Amino acid sequence: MEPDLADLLAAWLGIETAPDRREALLARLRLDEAFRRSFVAEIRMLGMLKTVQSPESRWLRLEDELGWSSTETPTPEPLEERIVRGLDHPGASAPVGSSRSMFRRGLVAAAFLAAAGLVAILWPRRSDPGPPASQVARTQAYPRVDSSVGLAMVVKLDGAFWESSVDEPRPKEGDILANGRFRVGPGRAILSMLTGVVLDIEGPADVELVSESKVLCHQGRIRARVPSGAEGFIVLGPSAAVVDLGTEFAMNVGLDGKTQGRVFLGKLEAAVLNSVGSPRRTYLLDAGRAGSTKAFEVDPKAGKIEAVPTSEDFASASELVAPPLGLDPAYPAAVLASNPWGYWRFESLVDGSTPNEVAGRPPLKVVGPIRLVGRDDGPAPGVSNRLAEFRATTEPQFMTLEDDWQPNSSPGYAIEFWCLSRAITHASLAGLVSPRATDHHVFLMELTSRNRLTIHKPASIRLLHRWPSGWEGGDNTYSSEPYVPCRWHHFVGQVVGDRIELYKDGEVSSQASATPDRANVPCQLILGRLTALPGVGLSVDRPFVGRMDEVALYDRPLTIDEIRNHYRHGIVASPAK
Amino acid sequence: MLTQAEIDVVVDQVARGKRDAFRLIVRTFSLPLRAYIASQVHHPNDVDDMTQEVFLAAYRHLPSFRRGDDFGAWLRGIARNKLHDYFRSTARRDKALERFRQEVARVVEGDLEAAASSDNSESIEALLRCIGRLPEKLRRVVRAGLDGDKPVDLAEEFVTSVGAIYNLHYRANQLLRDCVQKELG
Repeated sequence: MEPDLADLLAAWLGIETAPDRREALLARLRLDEAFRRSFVAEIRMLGMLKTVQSPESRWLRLEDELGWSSTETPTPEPLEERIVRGLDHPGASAPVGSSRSMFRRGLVAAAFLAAAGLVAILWPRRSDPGPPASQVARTQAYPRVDSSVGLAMVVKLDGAFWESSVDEPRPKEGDILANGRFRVGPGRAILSMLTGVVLDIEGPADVELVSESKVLCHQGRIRARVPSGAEGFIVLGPSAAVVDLGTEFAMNVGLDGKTQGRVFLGKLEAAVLNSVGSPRRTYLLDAGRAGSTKAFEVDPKAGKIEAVPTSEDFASASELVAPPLGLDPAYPAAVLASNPWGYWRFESLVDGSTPNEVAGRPPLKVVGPIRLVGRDDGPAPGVSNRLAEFRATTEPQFMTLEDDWQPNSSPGYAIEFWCLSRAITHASLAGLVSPRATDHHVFLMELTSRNRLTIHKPASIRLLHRWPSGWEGGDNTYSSEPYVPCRWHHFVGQVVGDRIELYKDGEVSSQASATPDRANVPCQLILGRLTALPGVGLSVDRPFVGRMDEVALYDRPLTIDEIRNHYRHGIVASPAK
Repeated sequence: MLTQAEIDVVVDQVARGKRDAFRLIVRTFSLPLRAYIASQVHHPNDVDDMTQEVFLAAYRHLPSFRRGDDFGAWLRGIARNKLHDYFRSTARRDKALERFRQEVARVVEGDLEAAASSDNSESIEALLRCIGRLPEKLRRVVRAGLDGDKPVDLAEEFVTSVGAIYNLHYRANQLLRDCVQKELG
């Protein structure tokens, strides 16, 4: 955007602007027709945007003047209820003296607005759009599906709602989906397969989850991002198939079965299918090779697949925005009241270390490109609220203590923190290794995903205890509920005598017995990576990508009351929670 | 959208005392009229009040509407008079800024009328669909602007500059315009 236009819009919207600058902008506005048109286009769009997000007004004076209030019984029933009821029973609410067809058209428009935008969720701050309001009471919650058998998670519903019969259950954000067919209304749904494959679905769409590596798009626009380790993901259409070869790609399936596809990153193989669903003719698309085909079209009637020019007319890639962690100003005091051995708030980074809030205790050393982000002004005067961000990078990044910490085998110990993961992925959050600079864990908390190389329960938090320390074996427990990408969670993992306990969001999530025979040994604390060893691979790094805050280490287990109290102090203003 | 003939029917019905028929006018034109006013008036309550004022004035002066004329343009003409009054009254309260806004509104009046002449409820429905197709980040920017969030806060959240936030907003609007145009064929 050119600077003059930005300044003019800012001034128009009330941002303080110097008088001479205002005069200069006005002068250009008078003389420059193209500039004037650009400005008009912007303010016109602003007006339309304001209109689509406004609730319908009750114009009482107008109603009085026209006598509507006396002929119509005032009703507390919301607009959308009346509209949808009107659609169900048009005769019941048709206005006096009007053309029913015209009225019905108005209703359709208004119902669309009500269902898709004004009443349901159009914007990020509302987390669950749900179906049109009149159907809410009549629909069931989606049944709980354990992540060990589920296929995908609803990460975000943005202006989208599930289209189904009224008795059919409707999933909401954070729900795990079993295999099955889902119809999405106007808007966007973001699903994550439990393997980490992210699907952006633009409604209206009709999508069927077939297996952990296969989705059938009956109709609609779908875009897939396939992380490393999940290659081979297949999106099927009625007459076409795309197999990922390490890539990001999109596919549009029309009502007539015509299918267009495009590769954005990496490679894929596309095929037109025969009548029994086997590939008949295939095409290799390579985003990285000059001159290579990037887009294709399948005509099912002609049984043809052919290269076509690339276009942008595909589902766009979503970029989930991390919500802030809304800590109560009293949160630090609540943690300190539990006498942690160490407590790191990530408010500052000096010489590669972030200080310990407990006097006399060591800072955490930051290795790699981890940075501190967040607002300096914090939730209240004098209380800052910064946090550590682990970026998506190939460089090793983790936090550790320069010296070993010796956990207390009796009565036990605890690690507490807040974290937000960017995706469903296998990532280490906090670990204790002994001896230092090895992969011999005593204690490990990590996020899991489904992959071919491990048997862990996917989309869960795993708590592992090993004694003696080592790189295999040990006692595991997994959270009963999944973690949700781009949502803040409060985790506590602790050893309590011969038990390990995992708490998620202030409640016991799981526990298990652990080998009772152990001794106190010095350990290296590592946050955000499996080990401090160089290299990559599932047994070395398991890098965490996301945000972490308020890490506390205790040389005793916490009580459930303490955990709940801390959690309550952390959910004051976090929109995602 | 009412056709010209349907509008004439409504005007006849209202003239014969069927006040309820005016509902169709309100229903058909409230979204585009509100959008037109909201493009120049920031506060949502003021937008609502003024939209109601325009409909009231239109109802009272319906006999002066010439059959065959563009009803939307007629409503916007009434709205422009209301907007002039609004800017005059606010300019008295807050001199420099409101005088500036008043002058900007005057300068762009013709271009805005030309642009708004094609707006109708269908455009706004299309816009709604298009918003759903924006990338997540751009939707967040658009929403933040409507919520009155400060660009500086959003810049902090996105770990970027305020200028970049303005550019994201601009880019979002471009995408929305293209999408609406495509949607409406």
